[in-house]
Amino acid sequence: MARPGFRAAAARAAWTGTGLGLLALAWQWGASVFGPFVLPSLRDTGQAMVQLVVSGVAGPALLATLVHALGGCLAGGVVGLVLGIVGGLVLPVGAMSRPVFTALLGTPPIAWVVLALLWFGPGGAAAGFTVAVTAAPILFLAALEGVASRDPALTEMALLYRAPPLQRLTDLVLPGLADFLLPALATALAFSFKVAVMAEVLSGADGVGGGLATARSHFDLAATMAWIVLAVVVLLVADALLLAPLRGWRASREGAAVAPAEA
Amino acid sequence: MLALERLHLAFDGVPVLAGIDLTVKSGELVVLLGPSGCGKTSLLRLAAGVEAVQAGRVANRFARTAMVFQDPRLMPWADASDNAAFGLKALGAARAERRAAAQAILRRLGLGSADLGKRPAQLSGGMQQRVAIARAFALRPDLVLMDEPFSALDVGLRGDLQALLRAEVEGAGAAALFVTHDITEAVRLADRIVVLSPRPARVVADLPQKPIRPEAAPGAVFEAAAALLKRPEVAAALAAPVTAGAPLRNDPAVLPSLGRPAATR
Repeated sequence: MARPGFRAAAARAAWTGTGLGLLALAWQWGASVFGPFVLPSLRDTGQAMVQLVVSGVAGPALLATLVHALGGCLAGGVVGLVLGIVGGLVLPVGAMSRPVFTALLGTPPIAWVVLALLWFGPGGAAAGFTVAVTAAPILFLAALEGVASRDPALTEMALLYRAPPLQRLTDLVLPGLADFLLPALATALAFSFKVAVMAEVLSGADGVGGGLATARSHFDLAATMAWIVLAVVVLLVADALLLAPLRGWRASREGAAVAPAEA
Repeated sequence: MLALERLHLAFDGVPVLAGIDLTVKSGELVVLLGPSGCGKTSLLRLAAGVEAVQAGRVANRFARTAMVFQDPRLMPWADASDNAAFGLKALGAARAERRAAAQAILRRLGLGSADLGKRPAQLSGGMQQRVAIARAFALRPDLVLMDEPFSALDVGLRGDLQALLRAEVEGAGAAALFVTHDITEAVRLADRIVVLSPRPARVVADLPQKPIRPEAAPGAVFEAAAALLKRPEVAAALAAPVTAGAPLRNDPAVLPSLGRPAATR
């Protein structure tokens, strides 16, 4: 007899497959109604994707976008995270930083692309910078809220047991942040790919955005859709490799709370 | 020795403690007994150094102080062993060493091997409180402050832990300041019972006594408790209504059914 966990996973996979199948059907229906100049068929898009991969164009472009997105996300994320944690613990730092990062969060990424092009010129640096300033405030505000929401009873317990600052950080502050940081990390990662591709399109840098710009100039809709699908696939793979383990750890941390032991 | 001298405390201008003098010596288990809300926990927090002294003086000459709170205060993301080893980690003990020490105490407190790796959410309330007690005892403290630590436990387990606490105090020569509002718990545990008045708390009685051993005759605990309650100052402190300043019966906003005139019922 199948285990309940396996059955639940199989059911979830079946529903996910159904959703993707419905999306494919809708795409195919749209292609047949509007024609290839509006929406290329699944087959044309697939062929264009194979062509991009086989010709060796897709690999370096995806790698460049990965570098821009992950590098920018990492740089901006670390700055936002560190300042958020420090800001949560040290009132003046938090009070001074919050309006700055709130303003950064409200600034449209396109404005940063324009500034980055003026500051760094066309190329990957503009894309990486734009991603960094987009990711930093997301992580900053999540870390700030997370630290502010820490359990005062646990803080008092640590004070009473004379836990040194490093132990308080590693045992109390950082694990307590997980609930706030995981959704923020997922958001920052998704934004990073979107912003990286947008910056590449506008700056003419290498990457998926560069491929999209080329496909647009050739009015090649199948190649355009192929680049979009490739970018989404890379984002999903990055999410599965980088964030899924963290989500698994968080789920295991919540533990089998469903069945606490008897006293 | 722990010495609390002329301690006054007020929250938002409302006096909570009104000049408390109290000492706890090595090898002595002092029980603080008082009605609910009289300021026992505030006094313990002052003794622990987590509440700022407003007036008076707290002198703690013990080298190693541990505290067990009313609630377990465990890290939800850490297992029972790591939670119990928290204080040892703060002292710089290596991971293997501190986990082994913590697990030995957890086993003494009745947790099974399978429970040692469980997180708090997977443990019952009683088990969580025992992990919190293990966290305190793992330090081998020479002073342990306990704020109604057994109140959430069933009678049998409470008796076991009371005996364990007495054994720790007598065996290791440790001192304990134990807060409770349960008179029978006080007479089972205490070398001295300090009775506090309703808020603002004052010491109304400081009574040396012999703790009632588990092997004592049935009823000995209740006889000792009754003897304690026969003292007028103790009876006055413990039997006084907590809401003396604003009786519930006269406050329809608090309890409308009690405040309603009889004719309208």
